[in-house]
Order: sequence, then C-alpha cells, then structure tokens
Amino acid sequence: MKQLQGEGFKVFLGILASLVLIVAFGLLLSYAPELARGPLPTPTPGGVAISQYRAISNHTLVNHENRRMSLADLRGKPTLLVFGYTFCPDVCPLSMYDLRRVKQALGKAGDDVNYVFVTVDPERDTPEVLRRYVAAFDPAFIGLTGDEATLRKMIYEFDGMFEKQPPRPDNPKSYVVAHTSFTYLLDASGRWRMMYSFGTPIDIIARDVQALLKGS
Amino acid sequence: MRKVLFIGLLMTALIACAAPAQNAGSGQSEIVVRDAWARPTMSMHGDGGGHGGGQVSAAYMVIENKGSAPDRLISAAGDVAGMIEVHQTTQKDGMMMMEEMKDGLEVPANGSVELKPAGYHIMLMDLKRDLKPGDAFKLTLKFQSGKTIDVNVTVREP
Repeated sequence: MKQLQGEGFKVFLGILASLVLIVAFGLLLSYAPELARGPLPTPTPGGVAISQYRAISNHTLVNHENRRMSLADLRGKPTLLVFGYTFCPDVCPLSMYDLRRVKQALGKAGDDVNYVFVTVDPERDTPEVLRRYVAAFDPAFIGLTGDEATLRKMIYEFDGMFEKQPPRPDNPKSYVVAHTSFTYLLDASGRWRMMYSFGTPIDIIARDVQALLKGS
Repeated sequence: MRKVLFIGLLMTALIACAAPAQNAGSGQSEIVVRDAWARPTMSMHGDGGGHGGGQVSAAYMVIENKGSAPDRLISAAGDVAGMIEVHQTTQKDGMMMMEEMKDGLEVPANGSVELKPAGYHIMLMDLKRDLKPGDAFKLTLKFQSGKTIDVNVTVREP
C-alpha cells in the first residue's frame, strides 16, 4: 500500500512534468512563426541623442515649390526632418502625421520649427507631387527632392540609406524603396542633435524641440 | 509498478495528443473583423498624384478568429483600388520596406491578428478616387477556409 502510494506519486509527477512540457512546447509552437516573421518590435520610447553634434553638409536640393533650397536656408530654426516617399503607404505618412502632432503639441512655438520631408524616390516624387503631398499635412511643411546622388550623400550623413527595390514585372511604376525611417532633429545651426525611431511618443519629441527653442 | 507507469504514460500520451488536436483538428474558423480603417489620401484629384504609380493608402483592422481552427487571410478585393494586396512592413539591413505576404496572413484559432502601422496592412494601390476622412468603402476578404467576409472600411486620420 505504501509502495503503491509512492508509485502513484511518481505517476502524478510524471504526468505533471509531461503537462509542463506539453504546454511549453505548445507555447513555443504558437510563438515560433511570430518570432520568425512577425511585425516590427515596438520601438523603445525616447530619442537617441547624437553625442557629438554633427554638422550636416549644405546640400542643395529642390523644394516643393520647385525652387532651389539649400539646407543652410533652414538655419535659424530647429528642424524636424524625415526621409520617405509618397508611394509609401504605411510608415511615411504616419511619420508625417506625427510631425503635424508635434507641431500641434508645441502650440504657437510650433511655427518656429521647420518640418521637412526629404524624398528617397526622386524619380516619382517631383516637386509638384511633393507640393500636394506636404500640403495635405500642413501648408507650412517643406518637401525636398534632388538628384539621387545628393539625396544619397545626405542620408548617409544621418547614418541612413535607401535602396530602390526591383519593380513588379506587371507594373514597373509600383516599386517600393527601402529606407531608414527615423525622425531627425537639427538645431538652429543645422547640427544634427537627436534621432527618433518610428512610433516615438509625440510628447518626447515636442519636449526636445522645446528645449532647443529655449536654448536658441 | 509497471502497470502504474504504463497508465501514467498512456495518460500523458492522451493529453499530448488531445492538446494539438484541438487546434489543428476538424474544427472551423469563425472570423470577425472589427475597427477597419484606412488613411486618407493626399487630395491628388484622381490623377495618381502625377507620379504614375497611382495613389496609395493602407487599410488596417483587427481580424478575430473565434473558431477552433486556424485560418489564413489570402487576399482582399474591392473596387476602391486597382491593386490590393496583403503586405507586411519589414526591416531589412536596418531599412524599412514592405513585402507582399504571398502565403497570406495567419489568423490563429481562438485568437486574433491586428493589422496596424509598421506591421501588417492591406495595401491599396492605384486608388480609383480620393479618400477623405469620413468616407467609407467595402473590402472583401478571402480566407483559406473558403470564407469571404465583407468589411466596411472607414477613412480617418491615424
């Protein structure tokens, strides 16, 4: 009888251990595909400070009004800048809505900031396309395009890059452009100060801009 | 002793078989879609924004599966756009890009999948008209189980 109890306990332990294994295996199975090719991880809130303020070269581009514009023309105000392209349906427009929200959060001080969209797709994003695109978010927003080599040099200075992907055989105009998608904050002297990953809370960006506005 | 061990093993084996069987077995998927929305377009007056690629937008939603079998969203259709595909925003060498999900998007049994910015979305290319906040359009989602679901998508700002 005593022995049987001991064996019963062993069986119980065996079942328990098996159950734990089964549950663990089941969890692994249900999460494994998600891990392999799930959506992007949630970005860590907060910006990344650029430890040594980096002066960005004075590239000459063309703005959404089809006028030559150099980055030096943006000096005098802090600048929030994103790279993107108008054919991008997901991340780019949402970054633009975020810029608008930052402007709103800043209130009147929001007018003392440049908001700039730089295309990584100069082939399709002509000044006219950019004009309509940026105006849809805010009439004060600036769109910039230029020759591909200049745009490439510029994004390299932000430790970023872009790369046009092969178009679909059935629609050569439907290509996408892979690109780094951070929001950059430059001070009134045109030095790169902060970068924010996609999805960074508006308050955090607005607070940093406010600090720059007070400092300048 | 042997008998008891045998019973123990048999019981664990039964449990082991029963657990996955519930998921992969003969149950049915039961799909419910909620909170479907799409971003407005940029008032490009239907000329494709002048860049020849056509206007684009993306639709987001929560797809719930209340059934006991997994299912898979394989395609979406509608007259709002010339080309509609299930896409995923991915990272490649530190860059963001999107890819068509050629094998569709799994909706787990008794679970859900959320299509949201920087994740999954239904890409709307070559839009037939401007999408303004407050507008709505219909998308028909097709699932691997053969089910089709009509979804009313509301246009709003994110």
